[in-house]
Amino acid sequence: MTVVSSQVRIRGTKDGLTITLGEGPWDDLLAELEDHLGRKPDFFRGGRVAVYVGERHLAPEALDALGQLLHRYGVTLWAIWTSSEATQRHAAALGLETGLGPPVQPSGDMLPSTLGAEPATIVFGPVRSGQRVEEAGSLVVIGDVHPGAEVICGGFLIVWGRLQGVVHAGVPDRTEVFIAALVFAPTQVRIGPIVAQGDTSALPDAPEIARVEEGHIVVEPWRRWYRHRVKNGLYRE
Amino acid sequence: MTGQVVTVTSGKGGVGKTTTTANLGIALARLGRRTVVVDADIGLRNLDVIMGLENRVVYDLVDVVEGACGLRQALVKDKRVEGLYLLPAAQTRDKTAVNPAQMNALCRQLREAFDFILIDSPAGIEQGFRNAVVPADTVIVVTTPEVAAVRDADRVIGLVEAEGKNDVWLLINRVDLQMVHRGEMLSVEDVLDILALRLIGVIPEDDAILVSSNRGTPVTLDGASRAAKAFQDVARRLLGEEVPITLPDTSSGVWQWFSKLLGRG
Repeated sequence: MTVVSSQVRIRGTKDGLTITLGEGPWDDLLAELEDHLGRKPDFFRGGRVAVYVGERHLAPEALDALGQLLHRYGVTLWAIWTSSEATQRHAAALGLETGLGPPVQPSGDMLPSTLGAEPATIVFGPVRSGQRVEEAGSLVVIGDVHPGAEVICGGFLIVWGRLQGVVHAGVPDRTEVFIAALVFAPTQVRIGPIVAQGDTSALPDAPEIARVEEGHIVVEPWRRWYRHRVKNGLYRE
Repeated sequence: MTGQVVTVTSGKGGVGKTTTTANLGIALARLGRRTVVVDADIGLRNLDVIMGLENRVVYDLVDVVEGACGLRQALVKDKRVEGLYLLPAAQTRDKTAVNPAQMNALCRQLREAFDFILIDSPAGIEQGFRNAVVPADTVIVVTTPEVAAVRDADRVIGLVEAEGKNDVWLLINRVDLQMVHRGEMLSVEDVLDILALRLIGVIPEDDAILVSSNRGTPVTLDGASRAAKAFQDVARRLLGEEVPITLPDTSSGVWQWFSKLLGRG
């Protein structure tokens, strides 16, 4: 679960919640944080949270105000991550753990939490016409998949190259998986039980991703899909 | 002496396998290598016709394999070029008359007597193709810059690699400078981009090829045409020489200069 707003970012990690407070007046940030807490009180209650404040210098009163706010919503503040020595000192005086961080982790490390259960196989291309690559789990092809080639796997399929053959991911019936390619121009795409004809009239000039939406295969620029995901906090799905 | 077996193949028919085999054979012999060109297209032989040796064929490859004659009896010597021989295909049989093991045994014999054994593969991907590819040390895949030919070449490259061959090269035949410039033909770069294979040569489209094939005097025999020069370059590359490949579709440089000179640019 991730909530992104202008300056307050709340992220679930294996150590509980991490709240990142960005730029701007401290009181404004606290007000914004309170807004988040108030919107989903049940979600936060009983949780423990580490707050990342960057290099911000915080007086003991400011830290105390943060602690009080969290306390009102039943959240325990246990750590302050900061690069400011003064802030670290003040936080330590309040009995909090301190340190440099972890800073906000790149979302990339979240992806394996889904893929991690099914190790991916890496195959080096080109996969040529008449050749067929089959894998029970997820598959990464490094190189082109030529027209007339077939690539089939039970999980996710990622082609680091030009994809022009026939591809089938999620065999036999998984529809939550996707197919991504640097150049996505397959002759035919199948995800689970769903089939779509490819458009081979022109090569796209940006990486694309194909997935199932309401029973149809949808292809969109990878960047747009990714931005949408980030905005909606869908890293872990 | 252990000769090198070079198989010329393509997948699609009509892209110039036989022309390539004949011209490379002549070029290699001219460079002082004892060379035999072997027609593995049993039942549809035409290497002898293109070489102009049809009327001297007595025995053929199937006769040798079946023991009906000795290898020396079946070899036709090309009197125009020192050290060049033809082993013709049988016309009255088909591809199943020979199997890959017999081709291997035949090539073992030929390796003793020749520096280069050039095998002209039949089109297709059936037994005749396997017969031609199994004994090969080096495989040259010929294609023209056409989508269908390139697609078949891709298929064949996969099959050749599946036979465990890793000395595989691409020869792009019949590249038409003008058509590439007009955007009507795949360029050499396009073909290489699609096939991802090492290039051993580019043969420009040349009317001299058709005329010479009909006459039974391959272009490399007189050596004056652009195509002849390109085949000679391929032969030298086979010998390991570093010969730069002049791409007929580069928009600047020698080729453009040539084409302007000829009033074709």
